[in-house]
Amino acid sequence: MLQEGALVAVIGAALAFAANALSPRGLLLTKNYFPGTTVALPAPVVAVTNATGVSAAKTNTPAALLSARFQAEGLQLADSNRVVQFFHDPRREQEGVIFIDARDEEHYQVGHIPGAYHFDRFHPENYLTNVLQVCLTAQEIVFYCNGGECDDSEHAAIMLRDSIGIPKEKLFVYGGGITEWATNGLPIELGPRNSGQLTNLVKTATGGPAGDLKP
Amino acid sequence: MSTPPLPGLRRSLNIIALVARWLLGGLFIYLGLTKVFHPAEFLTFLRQQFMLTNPSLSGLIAGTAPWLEVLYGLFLLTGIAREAAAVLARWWLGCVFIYMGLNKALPHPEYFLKLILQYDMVTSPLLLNSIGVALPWFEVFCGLLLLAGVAVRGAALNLIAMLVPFTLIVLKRALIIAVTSHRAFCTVKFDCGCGAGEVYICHKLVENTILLLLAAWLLTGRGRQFCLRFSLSRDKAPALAQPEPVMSRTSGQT
Repeated sequence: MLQEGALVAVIGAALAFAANALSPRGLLLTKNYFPGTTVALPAPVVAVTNATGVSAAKTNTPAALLSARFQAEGLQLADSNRVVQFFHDPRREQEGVIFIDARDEEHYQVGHIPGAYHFDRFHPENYLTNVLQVCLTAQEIVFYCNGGECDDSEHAAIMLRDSIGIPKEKLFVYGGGITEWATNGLPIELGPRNSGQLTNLVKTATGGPAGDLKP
Repeated sequence: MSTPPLPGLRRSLNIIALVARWLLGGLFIYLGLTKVFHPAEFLTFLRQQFMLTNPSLSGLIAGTAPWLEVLYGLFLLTGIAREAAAVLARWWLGCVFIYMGLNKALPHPEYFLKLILQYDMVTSPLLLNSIGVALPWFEVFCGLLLLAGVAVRGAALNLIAMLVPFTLIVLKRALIIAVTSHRAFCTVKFDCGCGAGEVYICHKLVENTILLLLAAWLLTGRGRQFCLRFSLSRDKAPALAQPEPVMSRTSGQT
């Protein structure tokens, strides 16, 4: 039985790698899909002692934790107000300020920030030509994905910074992502970029609320 | 020819097999009844996971599948049609692993990488990618073997070798989430990377226990009917594959 198990394991592993090689969505073994430093998050709640010796609990907000992590990675966190300012910035018309959606194709088509470029970091070969020039000329670039635990925007920013040399001062990551954007009732563009189909309610691929969107 | 086990040992093994079968039966009944009492949740799961848009079809499945699980659990508990139940177990186990493997491998394999990364166990990109590549397709491969009935015990052994550490890792992760978020353990819900999206941890643990017991059951040599080639080697069924006697008759059986 052990021999049979070992045989199944060997043949199965060989076939698994072959299947991956043949699959159009196959992964590249040597590629680093998660570039950037891995920064451990501080504990959400830390005990501190004040001058009188009385201990108190100091809570690190999710935004503060996110900001600390981004800073360590050389990125800047953009909150909802800042992102709205970017969206209404007149330079956006001349592509001095651009938005980059770092989610996959399916979710981008379902709804994205109007005028946002698409860059799926897992398949950069398909998107790099579209964003390369505009990233080099833009003064400020805002990356976003789904928000919450989604880190695709962060990794996409690092990937573009490291691969085409975008200065880190230009790079902003919208922590709340498309979920917060939609929750705030801001406009959503459906379909391809500049399709003109605007709505202020994002739908998911499965028909659920925006919060169900996977990064 | 292999030596038959000693009567004492055999009796112990039979008791273990009997208890495992009862446990398995009980768990199937529990799973079935959970779905019966929470039909909306099961219906949502069917619609999302299997993309069943037809309300009649999804309603029909949601109405019948839980009772079939209960019925199957009763079969296991009572020991009725044991060999047929073992064949069904083999097919079901095969289907589950094919489905879960394909769910990880095909739509967005990179999403599975992210889920592996959440366990903070792998840092090397090469190792991470290798796991992300090999695991899903390997599950599909084992599932196909079980479905077709080829090298059944070898496939079952590999599934057990995967299920035991994965269950422990998922359990550890759930405990961390429960502690850090100050939530009751069974209210922890997250995508463990198992291929079925977000799940409640207690439900997942029950599911994994069932999968483990089913694989262990096949390991004893059951589910031989409708097999293309049950064993790759020429040896015959192991001693445990003989009919499992009821407890009162175990000591006198040869």
